[in-house]
Amino acid sequence: MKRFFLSLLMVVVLGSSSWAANYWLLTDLGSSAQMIGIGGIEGFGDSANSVFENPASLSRVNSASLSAFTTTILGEITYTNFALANKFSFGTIGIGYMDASVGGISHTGQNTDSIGTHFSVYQFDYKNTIMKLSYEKSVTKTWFVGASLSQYRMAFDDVNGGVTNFDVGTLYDYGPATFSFSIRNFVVGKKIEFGRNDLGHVLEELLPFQTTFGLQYRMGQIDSYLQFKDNGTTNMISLGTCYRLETYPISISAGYKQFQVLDKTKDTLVFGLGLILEDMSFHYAFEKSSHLDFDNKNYFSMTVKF
Amino acid sequence: MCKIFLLKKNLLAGLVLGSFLLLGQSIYAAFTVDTFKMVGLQSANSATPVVANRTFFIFASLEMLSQGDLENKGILSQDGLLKPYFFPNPFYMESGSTLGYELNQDMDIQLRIYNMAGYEIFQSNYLAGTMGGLGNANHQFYNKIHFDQSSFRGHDLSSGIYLFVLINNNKVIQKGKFAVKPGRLR
Repeated sequence: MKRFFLSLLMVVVLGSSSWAANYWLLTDLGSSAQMIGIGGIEGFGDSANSVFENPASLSRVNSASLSAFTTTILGEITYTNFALANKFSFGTIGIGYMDASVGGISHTGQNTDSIGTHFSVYQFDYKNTIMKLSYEKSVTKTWFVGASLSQYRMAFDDVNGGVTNFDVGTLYDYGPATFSFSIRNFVVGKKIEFGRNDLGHVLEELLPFQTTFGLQYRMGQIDSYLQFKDNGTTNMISLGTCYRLETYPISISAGYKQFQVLDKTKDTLVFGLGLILEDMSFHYAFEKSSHLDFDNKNYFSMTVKF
Repeated sequence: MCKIFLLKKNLLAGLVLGSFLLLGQSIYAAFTVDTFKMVGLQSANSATPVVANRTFFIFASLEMLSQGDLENKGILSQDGLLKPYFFPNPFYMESGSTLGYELNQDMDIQLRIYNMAGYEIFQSNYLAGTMGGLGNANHQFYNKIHFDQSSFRGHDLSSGIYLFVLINNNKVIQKGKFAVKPGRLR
């Protein structure tokens, strides 16, 4: 059995290490300003947007939760998500929707003069969406498991395709520490299909198989986080910390995040600010960008508990 | 709904350009069509008229447009130069695409490309007077830079949208976006 799992792991890791690109997951950007502000650490949220991270962390939703997130990257790419979760006697159910959209992309042509200048024939929009349906169940008072059904869809110009996959996750509380482990796109090797090209060949892209292991350690007003994430080709580390002020309903956070660009691993620093009220919380995260006109990336999210 | 005429490209191009030449001025014109645009450009300084290359198209309306209109419609950039475009766009990584752009004078150019998360994935410098840094005010130079897998260290880019900027002296002078199609041709 052990040998079987080792073989499976080898297939997963080596099989996805080709030069071909995997499908871009929206969730790689982050699903809330709160988690982005601690370095993109997944699985320790206490609101409905856990459906985009580790479904087992829906256990932290006390009754019902509504969350929303938005950001615009480089003035062009708008990300939005909404999630709703409710605790029932048989477990917690959550649903979520996330999209990224870009407008005004030119389908181009080339003039037949000697220079061959390019021109815009018409413009099209881009839309990439993820829908999640999640379920969380407590195994014991400190051990939780969860699963999500994920529906991916991308459309632009004459490209249109979608696929379904599953996420699974677990969360374990051990004193001041909490461990999170999740697998995104559990069904290995699933591809998102976009029909056929002019030659009749199937156009497809592989959904990346991602595993994420995280640790949260609480010490007074300070939470510290550590995360290892593997997307099939690269291992990435994130570190984060969050300090909750004693006298004000405010949290301050900072994080270090590694991310993959082609075959290289790069890193960045992020900062966050939270306003945590009785039944509502607002979070903001900031990240520096190398773009000259848009040198800041700003993320906003809010959560309502009811 | 307006009446729609189907015209052959050569006939239409002849009619339109003939009318403009009679006016004896430098004219930019754009044909706005229901769901797509075809663009014809004619400059008094240009020896060769530049006409959209289509066999047929639906001619719904003809507008005389100011430079401001053309900027808003994405044909010209603020400095009166043709906007930078990849052709073809969208494209497959396997076959690649070519970025074309104008500059108003020879200048050092840095090209940067960003992915959907806003992270820089490509950066390259082009010296003034060489391909990528050629330009003058008379629209005589058109820089062309080809991109394919080899431009990205042999990697395909994931399907989706990418943003690019052309930088001179730490200032963004042109920007645009392109789309990569999923999958491979073979």
